[in-house]
Amino acid sequence: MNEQSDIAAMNYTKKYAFIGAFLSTLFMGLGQLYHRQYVKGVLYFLLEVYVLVFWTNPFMYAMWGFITLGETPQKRLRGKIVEQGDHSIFLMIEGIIFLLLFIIFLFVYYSNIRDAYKTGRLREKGKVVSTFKKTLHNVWENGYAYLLLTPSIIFTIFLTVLPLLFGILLAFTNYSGPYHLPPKSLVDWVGFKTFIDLFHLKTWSKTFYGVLTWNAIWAVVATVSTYFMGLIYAVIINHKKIKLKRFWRSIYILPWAMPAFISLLAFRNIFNGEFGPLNQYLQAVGLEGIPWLSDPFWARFALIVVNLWLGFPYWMALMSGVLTGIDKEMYEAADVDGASASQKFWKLTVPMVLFATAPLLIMSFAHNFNNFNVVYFLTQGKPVNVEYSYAGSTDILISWIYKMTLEQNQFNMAAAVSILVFVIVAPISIWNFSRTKAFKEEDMIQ
Amino acid sequence: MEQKYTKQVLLLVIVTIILGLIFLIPFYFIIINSLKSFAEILLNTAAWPKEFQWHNYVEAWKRLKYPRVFLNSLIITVFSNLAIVLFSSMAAYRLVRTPNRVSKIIFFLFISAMVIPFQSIMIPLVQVTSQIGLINSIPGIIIMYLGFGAGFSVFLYHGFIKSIPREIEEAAIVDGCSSFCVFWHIVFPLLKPITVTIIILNSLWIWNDFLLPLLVLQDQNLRTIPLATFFFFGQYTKQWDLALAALILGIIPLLIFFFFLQRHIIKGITAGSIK
Repeated sequence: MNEQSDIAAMNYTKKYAFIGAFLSTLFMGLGQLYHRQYVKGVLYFLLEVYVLVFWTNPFMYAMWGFITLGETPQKRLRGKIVEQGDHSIFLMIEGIIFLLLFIIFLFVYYSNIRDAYKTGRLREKGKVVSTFKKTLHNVWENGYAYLLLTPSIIFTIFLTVLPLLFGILLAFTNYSGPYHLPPKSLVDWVGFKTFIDLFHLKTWSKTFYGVLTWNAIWAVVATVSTYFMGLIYAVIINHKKIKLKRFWRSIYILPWAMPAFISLLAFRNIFNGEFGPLNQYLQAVGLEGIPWLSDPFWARFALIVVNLWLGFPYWMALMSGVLTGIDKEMYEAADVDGASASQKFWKLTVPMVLFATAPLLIMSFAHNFNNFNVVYFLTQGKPVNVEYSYAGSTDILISWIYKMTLEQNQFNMAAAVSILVFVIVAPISIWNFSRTKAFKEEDMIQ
Repeated sequence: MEQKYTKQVLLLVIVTIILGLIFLIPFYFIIINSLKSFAEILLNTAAWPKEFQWHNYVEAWKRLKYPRVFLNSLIITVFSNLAIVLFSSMAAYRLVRTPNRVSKIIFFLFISAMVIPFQSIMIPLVQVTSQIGLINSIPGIIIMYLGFGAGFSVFLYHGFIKSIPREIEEAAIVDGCSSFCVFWHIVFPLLKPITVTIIILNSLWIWNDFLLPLLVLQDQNLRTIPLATFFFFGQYTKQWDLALAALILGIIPLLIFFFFLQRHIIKGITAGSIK
């Protein structure tokens, strides 16, 4: 008897949640009105009316612009602009912004449906539906937390997510000089054509594979060389017989005290083939000057040497920390066992340091892979390579991208290469973050 | 036995000194040549200057418009830091203390913003920001630094706040402290060590940053020290005496900052090495 009435009640009341959700899906706020939450219902209702009345046309226009990227090209008569025409890139950015706003609106719509459903469930259970005042109080209690977050979120979205989306989409257009540069001419969607060109068109593919190969070699050599140089210096200044440890450490971290590009400009002068000090010396000793920055091999060599100078102090500082942290008793135990100095170094010191710093080694690889500063300020990618399009012999992918965008107007190709760089580097960064404290609850071993 | 040991140590000391000297050579070249006349540089780059040409510095100071660019750099660095610390500490605090799905998504958003290499969004960024009017203005670039810096700072704060026990805050709430009061009077003071690290890391980055100002601050009067130095260097690339003096003027403020806060900086950089 009791069970039956329960089931009957369930069957009957189930409709509250369902009808509420259904009404709210039809039009925002209807479900809330049905639940007799008048103020909330009217507010939701007015919100949708407002959006429909004032934003439908702009939205449709933005979507038109996003899909077509403009239809009227700029018209000129004797060099004067007669008709402004559509600006494809602005239309595209506007389209993305509207799409982002639309997603936010959909989220609000969804929460309206969910709210109607939840209130319905409350009524089914025979509980009192909260009044508007109480709702407002609830929103304040739980929501103000997110209010604090909004500035950071908005700026992050507008400065990274939006440009990122825009950048990705650019790869699927023909936005490039000289024929597709707004406002003079229109840009169109071309699908995967840019990627196909990159891999199959000889001028592009040759550059891409050439630059990628050097980029990979560069990243490996730059990382390994700074790492071992850092280790050597750290071991030497941490040797118990060396005095003035703090003095040496402060000297070696001097490169941190200045902008990298300033040191790099100074190095550009030192390596200068005609009147740089380095060649002056070589000639004074009677040797021939080396074309440091104008020969592909020597330019690459110079890059690695300079990067070594800039990069090893970081490892040195890091490893000094690790070395002072190694338990002295281990060395004492090794002494008792009669281990030689080199045995202690290779069997104790190196494995300990490697163990503590290996994860950072991978991070440093990712950093060097995209080490724009060193390449751009020291060699600017030069010497010119006639077989490459818009790249020189020492260019890495990221400096090639920079040249294509800032100097050559090859925006679509630059965007396509950016996506590939991202695909290479992002997994490393994601892996790196996933093993940090913020994700794991337990503390890391320092 | 005893003698062999001292020999080894002597060798080690010599190696240390030689390595140190090799390392310091570039500094020697910059400083020495910035004090020579141009003719003397061409004659011999390595020799000690016959006479110190201090007027190189006076000239570079004037042509760089040093006070102007120094002030620009200072304003940008200070206000960006204030904004980053203010917003990211609050953001991280709320994310840690309200652990739910939305918080996780937001945190993930911040982290993914850090993963993107700046060069790959640089061009779209300029196009987007010029459309919303953030270009060529100091407040505009400060907002951009907030957008780029917030992710990393939230990340560092997030890790730190996790280690703060909740009981302290609960006790304060019992004593009648509001949510804002809990944050500013209880939590924020506890965050001091990580705040120092964050300020140092961000200051080094913003003060030394070159690319973003290059793209965003086209007006000559808005240039920062690195930007002014770079343009000056490009303009006087054949006039080493002035160019090198300008480089040194560009380094000095940071060098001073560096020597005062050296220990914090080393700690900060090793802590921030995950970036």
